[in-house]
Amino acid sequence: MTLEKVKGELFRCISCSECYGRGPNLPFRDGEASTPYWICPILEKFGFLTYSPQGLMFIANKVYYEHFPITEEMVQIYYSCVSCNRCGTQCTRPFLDIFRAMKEEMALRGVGPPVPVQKANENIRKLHNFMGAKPEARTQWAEGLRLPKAGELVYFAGCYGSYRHPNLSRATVKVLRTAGIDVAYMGEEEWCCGMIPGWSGQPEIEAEMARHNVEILRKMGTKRVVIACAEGYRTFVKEYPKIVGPLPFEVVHTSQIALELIRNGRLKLGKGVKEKVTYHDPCFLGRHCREYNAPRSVIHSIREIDFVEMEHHGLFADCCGSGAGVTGMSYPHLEKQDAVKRLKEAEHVAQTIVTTCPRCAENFNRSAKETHIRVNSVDLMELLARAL
Amino acid sequence: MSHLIQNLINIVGKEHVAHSAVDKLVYSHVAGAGGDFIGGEPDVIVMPGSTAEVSRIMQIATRTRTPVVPRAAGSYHGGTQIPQQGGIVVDLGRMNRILEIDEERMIVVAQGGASVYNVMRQLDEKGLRFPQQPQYTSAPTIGAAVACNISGVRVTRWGRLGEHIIGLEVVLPNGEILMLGSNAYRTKYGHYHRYMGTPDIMGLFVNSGGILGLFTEVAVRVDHRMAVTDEISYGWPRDKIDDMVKAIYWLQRYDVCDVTTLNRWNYYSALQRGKINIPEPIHFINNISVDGHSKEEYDIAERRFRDICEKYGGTDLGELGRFTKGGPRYHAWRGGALWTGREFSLMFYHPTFALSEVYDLYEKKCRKYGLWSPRYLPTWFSNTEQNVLYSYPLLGETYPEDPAEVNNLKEWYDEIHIELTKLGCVEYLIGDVFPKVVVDGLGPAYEFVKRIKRFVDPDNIMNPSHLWR
Repeated sequence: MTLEKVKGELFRCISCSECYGRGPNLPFRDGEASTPYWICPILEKFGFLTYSPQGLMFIANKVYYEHFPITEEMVQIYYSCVSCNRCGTQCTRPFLDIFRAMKEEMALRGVGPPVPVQKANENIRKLHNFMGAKPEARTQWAEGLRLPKAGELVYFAGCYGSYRHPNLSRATVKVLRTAGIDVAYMGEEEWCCGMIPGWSGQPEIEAEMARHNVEILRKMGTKRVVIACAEGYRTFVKEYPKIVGPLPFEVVHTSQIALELIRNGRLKLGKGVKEKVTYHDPCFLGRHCREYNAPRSVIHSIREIDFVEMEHHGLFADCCGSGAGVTGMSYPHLEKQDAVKRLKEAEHVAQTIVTTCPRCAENFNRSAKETHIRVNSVDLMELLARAL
Repeated sequence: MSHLIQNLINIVGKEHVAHSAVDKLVYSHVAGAGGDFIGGEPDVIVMPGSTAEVSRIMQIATRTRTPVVPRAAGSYHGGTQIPQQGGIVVDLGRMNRILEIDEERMIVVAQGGASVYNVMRQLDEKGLRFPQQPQYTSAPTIGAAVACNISGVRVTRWGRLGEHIIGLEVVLPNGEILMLGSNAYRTKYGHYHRYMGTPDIMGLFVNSGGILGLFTEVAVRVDHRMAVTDEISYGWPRDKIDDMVKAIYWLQRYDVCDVTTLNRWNYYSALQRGKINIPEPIHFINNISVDGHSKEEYDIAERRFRDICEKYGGTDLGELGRFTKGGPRYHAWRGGALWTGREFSLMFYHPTFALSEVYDLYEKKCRKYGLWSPRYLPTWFSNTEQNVLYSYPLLGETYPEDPAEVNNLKEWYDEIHIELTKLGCVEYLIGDVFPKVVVDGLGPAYEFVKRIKRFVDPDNIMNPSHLWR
């Protein structure tokens, strides 16, 4: 989606500054209590309004309408954006579509994406995973589980669930099987969801992944696809229909199916988990897909758990800084800044951050280790597996 | 210029100085179409972290005769934040701390770059509140709020922010740090009183639009938060505007907290999408804020105001008042904004009793130029302030791909300014974007203001194009 497709939106900014914060929202808006102080993550880091959603919008306007040259500096501006969508929840303008379009312009003109992301995209195209790992290693996490290759409910492990967080995938299968679900798996036919190229200006790679995955799932007779990764979930729900049309199956996040199974009595949580936890809303599940409640309801269902919210939660949750992996790969120091900020907030309330995105969890655990912050991050499904 | 940039880097550090083409582009842009007519971009943007750094920046600017324009969110529509002659834009975004909230003295002290809403939220947590509730966004700062003497909900009873400022720390164009009001005589009692036993010099800086100095610290007297606050909403047809004006007058006489008058265009998007219902032929909507220290007090006030509205033919619009908390922009957005671009906003004062005449003129001019349509959304928004109305009609803009359409809007803009001035309306904040007749209407007073400007800023470096012609 280049700027041509979003040109009609480029003049819809009235420069009211609602999109970037630097304070709470209007107190008592709609009868709600005042929101916490918030600020656009890149504006917070760089300070200048150039790095605000309003600034990015204005730059895109000038690039398209007045042929303002795309510079190297603009690459940093746009690829620093973590795509948290806080701006998109404060204003009706399609910021993220516009920023994606700018990144596509940059890729077409050969100035983006940054080299680490280019490599990741190349890995996805050739090896179907962003890490550059061997495709045949993708299914190692499922060894011994004897997952059927066809079925109405399929678990989509994704790159993280396959290579970096096999425990997450095993925990998910354990939970589903405990509830009596015969969960199927795509095996070697599972390819990366394609999210990273989609968010970094190379949507044609995302499209290739989408077409393949949907075709395989269709052949498997899938009625429901369960995804543990917030980013993968969002990609399936929001981007795949734009590429292949209406999906022939339902897509659910693991938190949603877990809640469903708890509520209909199929999943019994026999063990208590005596731990003080908080929940981090991943941007791609929370603000992008407006799913805030299911994970919380699942946590509350666990006996003996002590759940405490961070001040910045739900709509105003701070981003982990990874930015769909695009920011994290391009500017790891920026990613770490956000992660540490979030960890410090969590540290005040709990010893464990529960989340529903393996990238967030990995980012938090790595940053916590590097900075000696004593907070551990786990996925909701891993926590739930302990309560069975 | 590179010498100047290096000097600024020496003061604030490299990471707080920006001067790339992209930075200059973004900082040349502000809200409101008026700003786009002016044009101009800075040579450098600097973000100081303390009053001392601001002072040093201003000393350099004066020495080198470099223009300086202060900048916060850039959400004022008059374009006064545009650096027309280049120079330095000073963004006080780093100076955003709230320094003190004193519940006993009922004051708040904050750095000039502190978010207005952050101040309000911190006050709310202590059972206090700002005199008025601004209807902007989270980014405008308290320093800018003083420079523009902002309005907001509750302005009817409590007046504008400027009336509640008790202390200012101002960095003058030559770098001198001036303490005014409660900042001037700080004793063991701390901040408590605006007047220094001298002429009220602080009034000089309120509403100054960035031409006399930079505000690095602001002290505001605040109020006790009311126990009960709510909104009621009454509507009037177009041809009953005179009855509505009478109702507004009596609401003011009975100390109503706030009356905000909007026209139906504000709700266009929400109406189209079926989010709200405003029966025909209602054209004007008055949102009336009611408050009370107790439920009993609130109920008495609410009944009184309802009686007044109904006496003068108002139609109760139910919960509409609550829906519309936040000003017209939010109405448009909640409905799924269909309008675009920058706002051609007019901001001026007129007496309450003149509303009918002024609105007739506004509608007539909009119709003349073909702007009375959903494409342009000719909204109207008035805050009633004691015995005047601060009217703030906005007009959306289409894409500037059609020069004829833009010219049409510009002609409307100029003509209506002239006509409103001739009618007797007074501009909210004089700026260069307005026709000359607007400033000519002030006569010798404007010349006196210029003399003060010459005294305070002899080299005319602070927002130089704003006041001069």
